[in-house]
Amino acid sequence: MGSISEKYCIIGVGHTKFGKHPGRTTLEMNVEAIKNAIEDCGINKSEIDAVLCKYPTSNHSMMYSTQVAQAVGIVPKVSGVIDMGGATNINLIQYAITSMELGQCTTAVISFADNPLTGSRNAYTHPWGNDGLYGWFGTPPAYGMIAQRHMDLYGTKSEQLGAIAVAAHKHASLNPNAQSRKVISIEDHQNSKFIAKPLHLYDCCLVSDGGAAVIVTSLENARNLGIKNPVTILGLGQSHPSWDIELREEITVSGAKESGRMAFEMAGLRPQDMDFAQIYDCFSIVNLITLEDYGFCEKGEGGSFVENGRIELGGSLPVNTSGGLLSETGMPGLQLIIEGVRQLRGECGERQVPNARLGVVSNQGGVMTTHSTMILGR
Amino acid sequence: MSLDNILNELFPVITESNKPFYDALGEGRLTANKCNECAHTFLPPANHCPNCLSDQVDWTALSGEGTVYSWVEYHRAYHVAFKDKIPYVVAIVQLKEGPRMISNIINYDSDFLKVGMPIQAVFTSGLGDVPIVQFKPIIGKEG
Ligand SMILES: [Zn+2]
Repeated sequence: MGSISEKYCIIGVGHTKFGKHPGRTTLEMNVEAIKNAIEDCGINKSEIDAVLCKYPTSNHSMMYSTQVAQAVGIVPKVSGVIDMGGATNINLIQYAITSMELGQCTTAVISFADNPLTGSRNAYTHPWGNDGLYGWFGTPPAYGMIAQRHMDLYGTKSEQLGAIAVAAHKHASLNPNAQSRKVISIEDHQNSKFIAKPLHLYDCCLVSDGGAAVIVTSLENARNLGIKNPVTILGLGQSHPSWDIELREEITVSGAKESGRMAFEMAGLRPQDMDFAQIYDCFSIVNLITLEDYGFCEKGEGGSFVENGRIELGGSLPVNTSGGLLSETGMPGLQLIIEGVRQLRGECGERQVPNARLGVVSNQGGVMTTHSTMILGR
Repeated sequence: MSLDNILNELFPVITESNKPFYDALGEGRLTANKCNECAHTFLPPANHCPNCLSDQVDWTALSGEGTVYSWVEYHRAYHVAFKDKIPYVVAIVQLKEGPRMISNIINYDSDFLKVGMPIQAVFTSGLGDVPIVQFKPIIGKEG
């Protein structure tokens, strides 16, 4: 297989409302998101011959992609569920492209929906491994462990994590789709309660119901379908550190380092070529570490990098222009891909990055357990 | 659910390969697996060495000395049994002999707790009187 850079593209994006969907099933939200993605690109449903999904995180269901395909009335040639947490979406896009290279399908829909806000959050509160008696539970504390080491090694300040939250909320205030459109200050961040010290409430992502979908095909097929504004996939990468965080060589370095290297190399681009970054920010510290690991700044300098508006709209690297997981929706990752596509199409109104031509999207899951990277362009 | 059922979720799942580790904790000893082929010393317990995949895995006594690799202070309980225990500290402990483990730091002053701080094992009882090993700062050696 030769380089796939500049051979495949995203042609359609869609999602439900982000927020509360009481009484709706995840299947119903997948259907709505896929319908919106099909309408977005104006193709006929019959063009889609691959259905790929991430199962609903809070409610595992077997062979879920076949349930989604059935609900949208598609008998797919290629279907599958990948379970790599929040890194899954980009991995599914890679699976779609790989299947297209093999000649097994031509147009794929990638979708996800979940309802942890109005449904159950029990999936997130089991003890980690055999360490329940030590009170080792929960996702925020595990990220707190990583943040604390970054602070102690590099002098990173809570206020610098606050700058990440401030930027996300500012961007979401310009996004009519965002679940939280409240502008916050560093003081609000500092005054919000500790969830797991050193992480405050505003360091943690939203909890959200909702669904999203993207449609991927080859540039050649997109032309045949009459698509006016395909967004090109220039680079892909992935890398996955250990399951148990204590077994990693260094917890302040994530899979972003190798995944980013892989994706930028495939694209033949450098971090400084990017007009924006949509960085998975389930917790503020992830955003900071990913920017370091991608090479936007040196390891340990993420704290000063994110200060003084650099990552805000109008700064030198606008990050999470829709508000990200911290303020648009806590959905695990597809919204970041959708925002990358919309920025490159120039559809973002008040939050548009002027003349955006290149951007990087990160997806990651678990406790920096998995990571995938995609570089997009037009 | 009865209290027993609620606590059950917290107890380690005992297997043939990890039972000696938990038995030793009950006797006030901290141990780790050591590979007879490549000398890799590791936790959590396993019947194959994760380095060379040898099944010639033995046990070795640890000193109980280590340093804080990182730590986090819980301000919210994720389990009903920990409701009256917050705030408490969970740490990744870097043991002198190489392995790392999850444990608690007790008798700590959060103003002085930091990465690299020397700590020493203390054998205690967890919920349900199950033996656990926690760590306390070594006084006078902070920093
Ligand atoms: Zn070995």
